[in-house]
Formats: sequence, structure tokens, C-alpha cells
Amino acid sequence: MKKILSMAAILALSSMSAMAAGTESGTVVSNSASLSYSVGGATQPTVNTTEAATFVVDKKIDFSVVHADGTKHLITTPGATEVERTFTLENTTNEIQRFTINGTNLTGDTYDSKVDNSDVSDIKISFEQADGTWTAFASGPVTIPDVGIDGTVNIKVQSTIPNTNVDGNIMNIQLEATAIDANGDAEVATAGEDNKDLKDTVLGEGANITEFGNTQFDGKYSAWAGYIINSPVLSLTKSSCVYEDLVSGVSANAKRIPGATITYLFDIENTGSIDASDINITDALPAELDGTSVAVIKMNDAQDSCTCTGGVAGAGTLVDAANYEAAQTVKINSLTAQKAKHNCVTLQVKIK
Amino acid sequence: MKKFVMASALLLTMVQANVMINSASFQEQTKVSPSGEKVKEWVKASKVVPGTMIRYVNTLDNSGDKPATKLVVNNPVPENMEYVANSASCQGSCVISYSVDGGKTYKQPEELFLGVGEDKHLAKASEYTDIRWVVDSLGATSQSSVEYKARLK
Repeated sequence: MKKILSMAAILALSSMSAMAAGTESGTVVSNSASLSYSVGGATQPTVNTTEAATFVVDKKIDFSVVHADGTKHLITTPGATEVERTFTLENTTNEIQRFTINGTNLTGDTYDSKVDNSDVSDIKISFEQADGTWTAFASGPVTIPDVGIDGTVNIKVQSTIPNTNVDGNIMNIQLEATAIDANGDAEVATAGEDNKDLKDTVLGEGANITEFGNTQFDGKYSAWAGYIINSPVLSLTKSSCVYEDLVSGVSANAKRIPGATITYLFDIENTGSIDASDINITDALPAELDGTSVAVIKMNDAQDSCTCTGGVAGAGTLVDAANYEAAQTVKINSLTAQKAKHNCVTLQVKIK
Repeated sequence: MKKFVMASALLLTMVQANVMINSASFQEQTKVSPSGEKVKEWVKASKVVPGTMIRYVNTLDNSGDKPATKLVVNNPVPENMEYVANSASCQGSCVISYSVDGGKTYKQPEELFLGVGEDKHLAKASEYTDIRWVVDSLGATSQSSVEYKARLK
């Protein structure tokens, strides 16, 4: 009874340890049968196969690389550095396998319907080691030693986004893994006729995968990821109108005469895909205007348009005094500009 | 007494049909014919990696001068191999049955169950552990064969 239980336990263990990579290379598989029969009604001794059918399981190099962070094109901004994408390498070779990995910038390739039209720079790679620590980021190719059967390795790829990029630019990158041997050379398939008694090498990766520039059965496997630039696109238009003069008072008919109060309107239009913040306006007033009279600085954001109307005070809320300097050169700081909107800033100043 | 021993020896010699069994393994290979067509053929199994299907052929060779009867071939499915459903066959007629308990009992597929309670299920072909062919007879100086296919895990 004890023996039966032990056998059952081993079977269960075998079942639990079944691997996606399949039977380990070098395993000898042997088939034999037994035969019993009778002759003339007399049972004959059971005979076994005179020669069992035997072969050695060859090494099938099989692995994959997948982009792992779930976002195909990561939103980033011009000038961003060390922008990370993550990948996973899975070794389904039927033995422990060594790899090199390399990250490259793609040029003009389409990934997830987005055509690459710009480049990243300074691509660096890090991978998670067996003890859970990550290697220092380094330029590729980087060697990953001895990935276990059915083992996975998490990989990070960092890129720098040049600050010359503009809103909507697409940058696609590739992470390619190459199976290598103990000497660091790319694995190659065993040439010529196979020997059933020896372990040969078969390149079996990338079956049925034709995307990401992959070629099947070449010992390499790639996956792609992308970046998309989201940035504000700002334009500034300045106009003026008369708020009041010393003759007509506050009136649409007020004229630009000495002592009159002029309303200046700064129309900040954001046609980009994200809001802008920390916008600073610097405006050197003409000498004919009295910089010391600058007042009533207002912000009216998220408008469909900005209009300067004579005799009408600028709309919106007063800008906090800490965020402007009323002088001959006016500075208005810490403004925001919502995307797809006009953001209207007004100030009043007197003509000398 | 001496006469009886000789007679017994003679009888033994007379009924000793000599049936041997031999096993061979093959795998399918696609070759290009001289006319350029892709042709699949079975070749000796040698380039075998996980997923490869192997065809095992057990040849029965009766070199004796008497027919053998009630031939029973038991073939454990090798470790690391999975039997391919409905692939067992034989030359001529035979009865094929399967085991899921390491050859202790053999039954027809619809009678093979594994697990207990809620886990009890009709055994999948990949869970068969042994295959049995029962052949009525094999004539003197005749050959026959039984075969099955299995896939390397």
C-alpha cells in the first residue's frame, strides 16, 4: 500500500512539473513491447522486443519576447529622459538557454497603426536577475546568462526623447533577443542528417509569428513598443482696445489720447493635445505708456475665442499679485492654457 | 522413461513457433519530389523535438513452421510521449484496447475513466499508459505489424 502511494505521489509530481518547453533535450525515449502467444493451444513464453525503438530528444531553441507594460504607445514629452518600456523574454527551449538582447530605434516602421516619424536616442537596457535585483542600465547588446526551461526574464528599455519633437510625433523601438551558445556565438541549427543517438540543435522559435519584423526559425525574436509625443502647441496674439479716456469716460467711443486707459489682450491659443502650465508672458511696453499704471491683470481661460472690446473691462479673474510685475516691462507668470482653447489675459495701462 | 523424455522434447520442438517482435520509430518528413511537389513520408525518427509525432511500428515475425494464435502485444507508451487518439491500428484484424493504470487493466476508450468524485472524467487519449493489440493468428513464416502514434511532450 505504501508503495502504491509513493508511486501515485511521483506521478502527481511529474504531472505538476510538465513544462511548456516539453521534454528536456538529451532525454532518451525508448519504445518496447511484449508479446505473448500460443502455438497449437500451448502458451509460449512471453517475448520482448529484440531491439527497442530509441531516439535522443534534440534541442529545440524556442523563445519569445513580448512587450509587457500594456500600453503600445507611451505618452511622453519632448526632452524626457530614461523613459521606460518593459518587455518579457520567455525561454521555451527544452534546455537552459543563454541570450543577448538589444534595443534599437526603428525608422519608418508602423506599429499599432502608428507610423514612426521620429527617433529616440540613448537606448539602454536592464534585466531582472534571478535574485530579483536589476542590472545597471547599459547599451546593448546585453547578455542574459542561463535562462531556465520555461523561465521568464523581465526587461526594461530606457530611451531619451529628443526635445526637438513636436506634438503627435511617433517613435517606435525594438527589443530583439538572440539565442547564443556558451561561447557567446549565435546558435545555429545542426547541419546535415540528424543522428538519432545524438542531441542536435533545431531552431524552432517564432513559429507562426510574422509581425515585428520576425523571421521564423532564425534564433532571434523581436517585440516592439512605441512612444507618442503629447505636448501643447501655443500661439500668442496681442491686441488692444480703449477702456476709457478723460473725455468720454468708460466708453466704446473712448479714444487713444494722453491719459486714456488701454486694455491689452493676450490671446494664448493651445492647439496641442495637452494642457500647458507655468506659462510666463513678458511684454516690454512702449515708452509712450506708463508702466507704473499697469493694473487689473485678469485671466479668462478655456474660452472659444478672445475679444478685446472698447469700454468693457477684461473678463475673468484677477491674477494673484505674486504672479506679476507691473512695470515698464510687464511680467505675468504661472499662467495655464487648456488644450484646444483660447486663454485670454488682459491688463490695463495708461497712455502718458 | 527415456522414450517419454525424447517424445516430450520432440513435442516441444514441434510446437515451438518462433515469433519475434521488433519495434521501430518513424517521423513524418516533407520532401520535394523530382516534379517539385511536396511529399510527406515516414522516415526513421531522428530529429525529434517536443511536439514531434512519432509513429511506432511493432513488427511480428513468425519464423516457425506453425501458426501462432492468440497473440497479445502490450506496448507501454514511453515516458514523455502522449498517445495520439485513434492512431492505433494493425495489419488485418485485431482488437485494440487501452490502459490508464500502467497495464493492469485494458478497456475500450469509452470505458476508461480517471479521477474520483467530481474529478472523475473519461480518460483522454493523451492519458493512456498502455496499448494492447489482440491478434487471432499469425501464420507460419509470416509477418504482421501493429502500430500507433504518439507525440513527444
